[in-house]
Amino acid sequence: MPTRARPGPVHVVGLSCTPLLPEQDAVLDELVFDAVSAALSECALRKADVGLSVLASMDVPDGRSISSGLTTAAAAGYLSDSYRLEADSGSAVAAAAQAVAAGDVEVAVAVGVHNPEHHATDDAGRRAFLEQLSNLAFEPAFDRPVGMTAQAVYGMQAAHAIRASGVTLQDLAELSAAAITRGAAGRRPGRRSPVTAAEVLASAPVAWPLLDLMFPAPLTGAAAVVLASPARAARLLGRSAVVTGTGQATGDHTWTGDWLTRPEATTARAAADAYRNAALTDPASSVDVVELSAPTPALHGPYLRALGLSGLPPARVSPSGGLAGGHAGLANGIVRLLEAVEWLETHEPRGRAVVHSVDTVTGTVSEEATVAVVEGV
Amino acid sequence: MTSPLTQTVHWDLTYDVHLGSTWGRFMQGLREQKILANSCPECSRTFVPPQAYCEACFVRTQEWTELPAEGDLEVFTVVWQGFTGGPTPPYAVGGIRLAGADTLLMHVVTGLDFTDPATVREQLPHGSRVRAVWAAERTGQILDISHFEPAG
Ligand SMILES: [Zn+2]
Repeated sequence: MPTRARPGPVHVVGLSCTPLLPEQDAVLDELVFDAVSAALSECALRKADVGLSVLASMDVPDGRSISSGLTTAAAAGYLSDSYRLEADSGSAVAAAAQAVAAGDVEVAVAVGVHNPEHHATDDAGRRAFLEQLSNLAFEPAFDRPVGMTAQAVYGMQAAHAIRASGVTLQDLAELSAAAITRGAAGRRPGRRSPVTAAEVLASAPVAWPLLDLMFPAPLTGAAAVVLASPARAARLLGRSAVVTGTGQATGDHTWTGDWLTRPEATTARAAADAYRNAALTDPASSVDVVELSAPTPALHGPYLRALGLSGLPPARVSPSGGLAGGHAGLANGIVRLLEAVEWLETHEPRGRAVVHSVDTVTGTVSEEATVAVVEGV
Repeated sequence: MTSPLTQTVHWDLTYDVHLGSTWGRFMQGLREQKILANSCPECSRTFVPPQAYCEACFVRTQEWTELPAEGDLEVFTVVWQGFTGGPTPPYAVGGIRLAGADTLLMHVVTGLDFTDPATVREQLPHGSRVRAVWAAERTGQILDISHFEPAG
């Protein structure tokens, strides 16, 4: 069997995120600039040091068309190497890490921004707009005309899980309540108050069987990470974590039904890739913490199993609260990385984290999953 | 927070989405109240919506068949909070496995009483038989099937 060359480790040297708010009074590129300049400041690097910038954003929520022109300069990519992905920022991290690991550049920046250009006074109004965009993202001949949206997909997946896997609505409510309560005490609370399972069950129905407090509060903002080669990182101050492996995978269309019956399959493929790159053969015994991105509690168990981490104590699964408190759209991948690195920095010995992220544009349909293995140093 | 300063931008674009020969044939069938499926010569799976190629075997599909306008409701959700420009909630959307098909067709499902959200599950249990209700005027699009209703 041919052996596969492992990419070298990539150091996380700067990591930052803007305040995550229901709505920002800022232009898109200002948020990108704020996140990137703060991440570069952490490791005392300047724009001229950046060999590659990869930006994750999506034009439809941004109300723009080919917005690279606006955001390239803010991502420290002006007159240098830069590109944009319409994907969760976990993909931007993977792309930037690969460029550093391959020796193409010494320093790379990945940044994700999510700032839907819509003013609403409450979460229901914000979701009505995001759901309209989701409907537009579905395939136009069959799925879009019948009203498919991310929330409808999540509702159906939860209904299937309750019927087929024996999980109950009470179980889901308890998962949401625990995660929201954990998040409320964290550094970036989307929802600021602890809640009980009874309060989750009493919240407004959104997409049966899922209720309001089972969906993340919609947040906006930008998050950025600066990655460097080991040689360059040795001469830098800043964060002390290493990305040892990344993996990505994409899910399937509506008609195959995998999004419904095997929603964990995409994450499992991404995890297999990341673990192989990181030479992680037994995640169950060698991972200390996971930052999971479960957009609903019905996906918590399937994603955790796909990562091989079902045995982790609950306190080690998204200590930040994960998405239960709030979700900053495509910025999420880097927000989860930030939460994981902060956890590693505050625990001795430093340990190993798995960072999981998915895009939520069309729910588990055509879902994109990213997994990264991160070690504290 | 006071309302941030914003500027209203409206995009009004009309697309003519190309259907191609495979989906085109299916949509033409709908005008005549026919649901047409095709299948893969290698794995024998039958597709509705039809596919020009089998993504798993990576070969062109062949063989067309007409399926009955009935099937099993694999799953559904009731949308209580809809989307801007969408139908007025509550409404139900589901995945239907037409008799003879290996795939899911997503569509609007009627016949539920939404008065008590707690009872919707019993009203349409998993695998309930549903049938297509045709629109009076058909123009070669998926909404030529107006919706699916319980067949029992
Ligand atoms: Zn096939």
